[in-house]
Amino acid sequence: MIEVTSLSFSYGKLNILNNISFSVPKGQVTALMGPNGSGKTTLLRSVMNIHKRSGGLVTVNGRPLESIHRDEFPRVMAYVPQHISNRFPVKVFDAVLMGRRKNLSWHIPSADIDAVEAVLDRLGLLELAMRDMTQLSGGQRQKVALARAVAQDADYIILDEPTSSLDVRHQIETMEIISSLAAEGKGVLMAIHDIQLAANRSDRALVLSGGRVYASGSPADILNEEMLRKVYGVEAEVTMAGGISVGIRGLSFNKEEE
Amino acid sequence: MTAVLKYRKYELKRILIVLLLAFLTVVMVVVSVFMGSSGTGFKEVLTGLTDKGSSDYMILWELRIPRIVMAVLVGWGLALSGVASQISLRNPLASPFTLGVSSGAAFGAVLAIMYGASVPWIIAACAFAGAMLTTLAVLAIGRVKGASPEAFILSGVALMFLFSALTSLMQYTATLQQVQAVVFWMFGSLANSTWNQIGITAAFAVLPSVWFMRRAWDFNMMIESDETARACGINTGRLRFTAMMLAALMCASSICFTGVIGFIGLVSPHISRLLLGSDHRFLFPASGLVGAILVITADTAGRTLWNPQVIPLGIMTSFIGVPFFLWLILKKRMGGHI
Repeated sequence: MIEVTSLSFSYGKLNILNNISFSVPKGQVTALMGPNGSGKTTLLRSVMNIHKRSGGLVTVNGRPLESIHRDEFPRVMAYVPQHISNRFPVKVFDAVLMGRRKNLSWHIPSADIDAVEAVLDRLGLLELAMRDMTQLSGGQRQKVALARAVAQDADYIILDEPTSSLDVRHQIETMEIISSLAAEGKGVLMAIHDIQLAANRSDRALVLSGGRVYASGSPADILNEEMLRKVYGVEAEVTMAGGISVGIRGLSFNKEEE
Repeated sequence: MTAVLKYRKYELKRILIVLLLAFLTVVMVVVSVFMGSSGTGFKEVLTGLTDKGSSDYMILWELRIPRIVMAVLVGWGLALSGVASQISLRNPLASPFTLGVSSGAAFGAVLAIMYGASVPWIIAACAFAGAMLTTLAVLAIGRVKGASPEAFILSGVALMFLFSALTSLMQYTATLQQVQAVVFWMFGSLANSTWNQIGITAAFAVLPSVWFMRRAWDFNMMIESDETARACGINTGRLRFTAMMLAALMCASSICFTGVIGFIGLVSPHISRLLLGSDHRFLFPASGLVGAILVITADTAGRTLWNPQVIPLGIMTSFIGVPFFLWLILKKRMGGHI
C-alpha cells in the first residue's frame, strides 16, 4: 500500500497542497479528481518523488519513499505522464523497452524483447511497434506511455490523465487495461477529469479542491450533486441506476453569489 | 518472424551502419594521406611512409599524418560532445558552443595573444582555461536555477554574448599584428598539429567517450522528459551536469589547439540520427565517425582544392556543414525530423 500522510507542497511561498492524506491499496484503482489547478498533477509527482514535497510522509509497502534506492524504484512505482513529446526520433518498441531499463545494457536480453512484444500486443500497439513516436497522435503516444509502465511491471502505477487524448472507444479500452492491472494485484492511482469514467471504473476516489482533500471514499458515497456544485461549480443530476450516471445541467452561477 | 529475431535484425542493421562509417573513415584517412599540396606522388608517399631517409618521411610523419589524426580526434570529440549536449539539453540546436565553450576559448586565446604570448602552448592553455571556466560558470548558474535545460541554455547564451563582447573589445584596442593573430586562431586550423597535442586531445577524448557509451540507455531515457527518466530511477540532474561537463572538456581539448571549428558538433549528430535513429548505443559511435569523416574531408579539401592556398578549416567545415544543415531543415519541413 502507498500511504500518504499530511503531505504538503509549496512553490516558494505559494502553497499548492495542504495536509493531504490518503492511501492507494494494491489490487484497486484509486481515482484522483478535482478541477483544473486543484493540484492533481503536483500530488502525483510528489508521490513519485519527482517533486520534493515540503512536508508530510509517503510510505510504500511500509517503507518511507526516500529509503527506496533509485535502482529499486522502477520495480516499485511506474509513472505515466499526461503529455509525451519527443524532440528526437525513437521507435515505439524502444520507447516501451525503456520500461525494462534495469535489465538493459549494450545487449538486450531476449526475455525483455518478448516481454515488450507481449505488452504491445495486450495494448493493441503491435502494428505501431516500428513506427516513430514523432509520427504518432497524442492519444497513441499516451498508450505507448501506458505500455511502458506495464512493461516496467512495478507494484504501483501512477497515471496522470491517461484518457485525456483518447476517443471514447480508446478511453474504454484503456480503462479496461487499467482495471485488469488492478485485478492482477497492482495498485493504481490515476488523476482523471472524466467524472463518469472515474465513478464507474474506480474502487476509491479522492476529490481535491484548492489543494486540500474535499472528500475521499467509494465513488458512490462521494459523488453527489453537492460535491459537484461546491468543487466544480456545476449543477448536475447524479443517478445510481445501472452504474453511476452524471448529467451536467449547467453552471451553478447566480446573482446572489456574484 | 519472432519479435526477438526482428529486433536483432534491426540492431544488426544499425551495427552495420556504424561499421560502414568506420570503414569510410579509414578510407578517408588513407585518401588524405596520399593527397597533399607538396606534389608528392603515389609512389613517393608509399616509400616516404617507411623510408626514414627520404625527404617525404618528415612531411608525412611530422606534418600530414599528425594533421589527419588530429582531424579524426577533433571530429570525433566535437561530434560526441554535440550528441551529449543535445540530449542533455533535449534541444536539437544545442552544441557545446551553446554552453559558451567557443566564446570562452576565443576569449582565453585573445587574452594570451594580447599579452604577448606567441608560443602555441600558452595560447592553447589559455583557450582551454577560458573554455572550461566559461562552462563551469554556465553550469553553476544553471544549477542554481534548477538544473533544467532552459536554465543552462539561457545562462550559456548570456555568457556567450558577454565573452563575444569582451573579445571584440580586446580586438578593438589591439594592434594590427595582434588582430591578425587572433583572426587566424579563430579561423581554425589543423596545420600545426603535433604528436604531443594529439596525445593530450586523445587523452581527453577517451574517458568521456567511454562514459558516454556506458550510459547510452540513461541518455535514451532522457529523450522524452525528465519526469519519465526520473520515474525510471535516473538522477537526471547529475546525468545532465556530468554529461555537459565532459562534453565541454572534450570540446575544449580539441578547439584549444585548432581554433574554433563550427558546425561539426551540431550537424554530425543530426546526420547520424537520420541514418540510424536516436538509440545512443549506436548514435554516439556513429556521430563520432561522421564528425571524423567531415573534418578529414573539409581539411583535405581545404589544403588541396585551391593549391597552394590553404582554406582554413573553420571556413571549410562551414562550407560543407551549412548546405547540409539547410538540407536537413528542408527535410524536416517535408515530414522528416532532425
